[in-house]
This record gives sequence, structure tokens and C-alpha cells, in this order.
Amino acid sequence: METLCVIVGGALGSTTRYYLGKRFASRHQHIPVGTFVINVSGAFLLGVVTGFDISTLLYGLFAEGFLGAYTTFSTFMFEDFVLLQNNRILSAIVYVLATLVLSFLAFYGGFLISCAIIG
Amino acid sequence: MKKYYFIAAGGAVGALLRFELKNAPTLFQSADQLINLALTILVINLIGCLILGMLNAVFSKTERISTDVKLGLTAGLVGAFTTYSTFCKESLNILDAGYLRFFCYYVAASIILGVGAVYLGHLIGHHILHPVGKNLVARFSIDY
Repeated sequence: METLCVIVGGALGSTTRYYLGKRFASRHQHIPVGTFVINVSGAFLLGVVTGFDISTLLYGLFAEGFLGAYTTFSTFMFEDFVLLQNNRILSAIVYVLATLVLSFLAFYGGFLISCAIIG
Repeated sequence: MKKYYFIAAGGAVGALLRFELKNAPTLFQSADQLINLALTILVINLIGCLILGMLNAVFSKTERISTDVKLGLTAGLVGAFTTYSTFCKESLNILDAGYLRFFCYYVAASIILGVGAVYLGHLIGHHILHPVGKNLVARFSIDY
């Protein structure tokens, strides 16, 4: 049953990522804003989900399935590789550092918010 | 619209594979479960980076595979197989447990090896799997 939740979440998460990534990609060419927004927002939401003490099934659906598939590591790294290959070294470094720092803060912030809600 | 079905199908399989691999108990056997889990996520992400580098290199040069199938495999399967949110969570769990040095090495290794794996996959795709045409410079928006 948990497996089914992960499958459904994975299907929804990956299509959401593709849709949102497309929406952002057309307007920004220098830094891959789409994946950046997706990964930071996904980290925030996982922080929120982690703070709530939800059942294994719901965790499988939202965290392992949806958020796991919504955020992506491979595209993040591929985009950084593209920046490096095009000799945009500074952009490549800024992209990685901005994603790491903001996503860690976002996860922590989401975690604190849900802890505050539970009380 | 049709491409969304392919991405959903790929995403379902990718998420399932990640879930099963993550719960495989024997991949790493250090005393601390947090470290085992973090290293498993790292392996999953590196495999995905290698495969995405290969697929993008091959797909950018061939018309014989439909765009729907290409997107299903890259945006769907590999995109859902690798994960950033869990990487984030496990990194912070390590930091929270007091392994400051391991945290730094872990994050640095994930990025450096991740870009390296994409590059290796890119080379394999261009020179071994589909050595036709010139070595194209990769682009962000791959619409094939």
C-alpha cells in the first residue's frame, strides 16, 4: 500500500516539476530559475511534512513520492554542467551555492513552522 | 498533453525504484543509520546524474526516438529517481546529529561527483553510445 502511494506521488510530482519548469524556463536564460525554485520550494515543503507527525502512507505519498519526484538532483547537476561547459564559471558556482544555502534554510524554516503549528 | 502521460509513467517508475533502493538494507553497513541512508541517497543521485548525461547526449542527436519517450525517460524516470528534497533532509539530519565534518564532505562530494557523473555520462553518450555528428555543447532547455 505504501508502494502504491509512492507510485502515485511520483507520477504527480514529476509532471508538476515539468510543468512549472517549463513556465519558468522561457523567461530566464542565464540562471536555471525553474529548477532553483522547484528544489528550494520542495525542500521547504519537506521540512513542513517532516515537522508534522503523519502516517507512513501519507509520508509515502507526499514526501517519498510527490516531493521526492518533484525535486530533482540530476537536472540540478546537469544545468550546472551546462553552465561550466559554456564557461560561465561564476554562474555555476553561484547557482550551486544559492540552491544549497537557501534550500537548507527553507527546509529548516518549514520544519519550524509546522512544529509551531503543532505546538 | 500526451507527453504528460509519459512523464507521469516515468516518474512513477523512477520514484518506486528510488524508494526500493533507499530501503535496501544491505547497501551500506556503518554503525550509524543516518550515514547509511545519506550514502544511499548519494549513490542514487550519482547513478541518475550519469544516466541523464548519457541520455541527453544521445537524445540531442537522434530523431528516431519520439519526444514523448525522451521526456518520459529524462524528465520522468531519471528526474523522479534522483531527489533533492531528501538530499536536503538527510544532510541536515547529519548536521543535527553533530557530524559537522561529514556534513561538509557529504555536500561537497554530492556536488563535485554529481557534475562529474553528468560529464562522464555526456562523454559516454557522445563518443560511445551514439558517435554521430559533432560533440554538441549542451543546453538547458532540451526539447529534443
